[in-house]
Amino acid sequence: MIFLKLLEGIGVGLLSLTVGLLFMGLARKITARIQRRYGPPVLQNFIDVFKLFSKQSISHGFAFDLGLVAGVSALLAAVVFLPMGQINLFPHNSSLIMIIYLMTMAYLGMAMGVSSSGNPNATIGVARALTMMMGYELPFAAVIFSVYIFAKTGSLTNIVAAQGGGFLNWNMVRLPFGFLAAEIALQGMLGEKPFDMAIAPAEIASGPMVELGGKYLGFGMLQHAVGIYLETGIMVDLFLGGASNIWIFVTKQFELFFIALLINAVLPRFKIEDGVKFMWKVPLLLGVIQALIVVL
Amino acid sequence: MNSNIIWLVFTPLIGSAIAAILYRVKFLDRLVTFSTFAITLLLLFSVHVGQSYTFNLNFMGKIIPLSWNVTHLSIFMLYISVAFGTLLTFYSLMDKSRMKGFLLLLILAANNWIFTTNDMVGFFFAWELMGWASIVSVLGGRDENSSRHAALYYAMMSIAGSYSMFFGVFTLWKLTGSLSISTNVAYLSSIVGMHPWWVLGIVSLFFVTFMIKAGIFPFHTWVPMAYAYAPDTFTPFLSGVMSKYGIYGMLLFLPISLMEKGMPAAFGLPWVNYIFMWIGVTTAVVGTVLAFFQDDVKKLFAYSSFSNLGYIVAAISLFSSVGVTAGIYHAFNHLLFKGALFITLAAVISRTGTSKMSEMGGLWRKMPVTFFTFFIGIASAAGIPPFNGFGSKWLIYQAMIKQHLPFATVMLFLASTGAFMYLFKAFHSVFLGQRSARYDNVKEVPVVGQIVEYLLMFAMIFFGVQPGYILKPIGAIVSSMGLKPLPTMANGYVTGMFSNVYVPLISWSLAISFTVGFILFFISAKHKYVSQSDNYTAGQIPEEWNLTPETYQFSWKFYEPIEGIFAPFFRIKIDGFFRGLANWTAATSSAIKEIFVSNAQIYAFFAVAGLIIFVIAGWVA
Repeated sequence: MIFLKLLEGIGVGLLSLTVGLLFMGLARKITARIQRRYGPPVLQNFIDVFKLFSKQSISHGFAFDLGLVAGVSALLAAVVFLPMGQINLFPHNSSLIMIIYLMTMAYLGMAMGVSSSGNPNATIGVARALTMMMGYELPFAAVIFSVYIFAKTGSLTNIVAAQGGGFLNWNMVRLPFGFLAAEIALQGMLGEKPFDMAIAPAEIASGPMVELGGKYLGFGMLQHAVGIYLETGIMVDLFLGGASNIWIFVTKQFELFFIALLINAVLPRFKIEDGVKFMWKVPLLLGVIQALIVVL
Repeated sequence: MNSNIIWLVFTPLIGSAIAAILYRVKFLDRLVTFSTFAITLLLLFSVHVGQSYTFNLNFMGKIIPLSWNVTHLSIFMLYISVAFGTLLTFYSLMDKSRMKGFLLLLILAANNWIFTTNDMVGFFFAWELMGWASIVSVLGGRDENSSRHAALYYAMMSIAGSYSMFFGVFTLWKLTGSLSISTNVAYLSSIVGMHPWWVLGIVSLFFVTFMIKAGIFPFHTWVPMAYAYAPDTFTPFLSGVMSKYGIYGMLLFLPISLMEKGMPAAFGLPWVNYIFMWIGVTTAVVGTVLAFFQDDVKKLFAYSSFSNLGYIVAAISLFSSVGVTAGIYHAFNHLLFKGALFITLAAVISRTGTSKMSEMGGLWRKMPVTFFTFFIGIASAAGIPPFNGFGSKWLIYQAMIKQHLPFATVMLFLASTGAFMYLFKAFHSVFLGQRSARYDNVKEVPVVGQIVEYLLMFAMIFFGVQPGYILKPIGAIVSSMGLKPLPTMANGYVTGMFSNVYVPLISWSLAISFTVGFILFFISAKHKYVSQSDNYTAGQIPEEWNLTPETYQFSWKFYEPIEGIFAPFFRIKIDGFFRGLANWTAATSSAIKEIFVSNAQIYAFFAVAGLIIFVIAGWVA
């Protein structure tokens, strides 16, 4: 029984990695087509990861190693609690706040790893990412707690169950302002333009990634992959009524990711303070309106 | 008669006398302090819930009954405070700071007295003892001028609080003729329906004192100063234990609001509680925002403490079973992780000689044990599972949402995200990044310190993974207050909430995923370790640019971009209000003094005018 759960958990982890890497490959292809380029093959990111893990690399010490491993591992630990279609390993333990705090551990690990390298570009990137995090978490929290109060539950399984019975029961339709706010917050969460100040290749040499090479960069890519999977998955469970099977689930995730990509392809980058201010104006206002509607 | 309770007070007093005699020999002073703490901890095993003791003090022909009563809450607070104090004094055996052991023992005596007493005279006396002993303790900081200033400021706030409590005690004594706390609380509960404003007035007299001691907004101004300039080994006690006295006092008086009948409600809460909850939320947010921009690492964590106390106040002010559980649980967790953080800071400061974050950096290679303790400490403080801060934060959110308070919850969530930001800032600036050449010879703390750090790490992980050991006694406290305890299972599986969390499951999930991660790490291609100077510098040769580790370290103006967002709020200075009040008082007093001393004619004029008014008033009446 326990062994079965373990296998299932590892399976879910592999699934999230695969889907995440596939999404990243599709993102490169789609962005290229928008810019009228041919673009790399869709499976390029798989090739990249295998190549990176087989290359020798330099490390800056045990904190560097631990941090990068923690970045992937904590996200993989969080992803098993996410209900995705018929795959729901722990239906009684899918508290959304718990998943969000587990994700925080991944960010802390990544931040610790890259900052211990001693490169200020990495730290500047982390500081920017954290600042942006405070920006998008405020509207996102407003949305989460509206959904909590609306659905009278904080468990993702129950939130999905409450949206059963057709399109009109989805929270996207019932809580439209909240959905819009969460969509904008998702853009920040994924680190896509206009909220990609943390990476900012032209300013701070890719920020957190500056000292990563070989398997460390591989870990970084895997973390990004699971991150995409987890963040879009949470959105699907919260607003798009979950899914009846995993294929529909992934399709819905891709829809959300696709919208984020389109915005990413055409918008320039915000300054950090402007990004935070934007988050605290438009999405927060939408979130607050939604919370007011729910409470009153 | 259970006279062993008063030994809880007398043992530290005796120890304090011995330590005071020996205080010139630093090691003996520390040894006596540690042994007294350890003996007190052993004495606690003989104290049980329900024991009481009364001693009639004959004061100039008037009988004052001093009574002790051990409740569930008091035994819980006693255990956590004395156990932490024992660890701290063990750590300070090898400490070089100017903290005086006998003062800490006086505080311990007061600590035990406050937590067990059931009469207001004893409570007031112990409160004063604790206050003054801690004020004098603050004086021994590294920077003498600053610590003197901080102690003076702290003393002023303390005195204001004491006056307020003194008025409260006498008003209640006048009203009921009894000095017993439980009698008076029962009396206030019985009249709250008829005279809500009276009760509110009397209770606020006490609450001002408690809020000052806990450092709740707007009485927080002494907190950053006192915490930052106190001796490094005293700050953990100040932040971990002493801020909880205010919370304990609030918990004594909060049951009154349960009987609230005459008061209108706001959002399902009595409006007093509603306002108090917002005070807590404001505290959490203000503390977080102020912590972003500190350069002194102890000041940063002082603001962090202040912010966490806001969480506790917000939770207990709901006075629901989830709220009170979450509040007490967070009080415990805060004691543990903030104590650990301040102890590691004491270790770092004792090795580097500075508390400025911009002067530190890259210490993780030199102090690995301290580094890991700090790491787990900030992970706990950020509320990351499976460390100990997660459970209480999660419960606080549950309590808030259960009351349908989305905005307050969002503000607390913001404070939590912000907490992650300032914690990472401190983490990076002290331990990560480039290490300056002058710290090349820094060593790890001595073995005694390392033992304490290992114990704290263990405690933070253990109580995170097995929250049941703490939630069970808290359940007893909650039911002794007349609330329904949470349905917790042995392993801390809290059910019946908005959602369930089974913490051991998270731990297993993390353990497995970390194993997988490390397997992947070790089976993939080899890596080689390089020095900290082997860095990407955009193709430049560092020597040509005079690039030193100090200039290649990013710790100054860490969060500059958002400084502009919060700039309007920095213009509001609570500090300035108190300063203005002081100036106004000084000006008014000197104006009054002028009347008497400047000129005989003016004095005569006022005297005659006063006499005339007096005569007219007598006539008319």
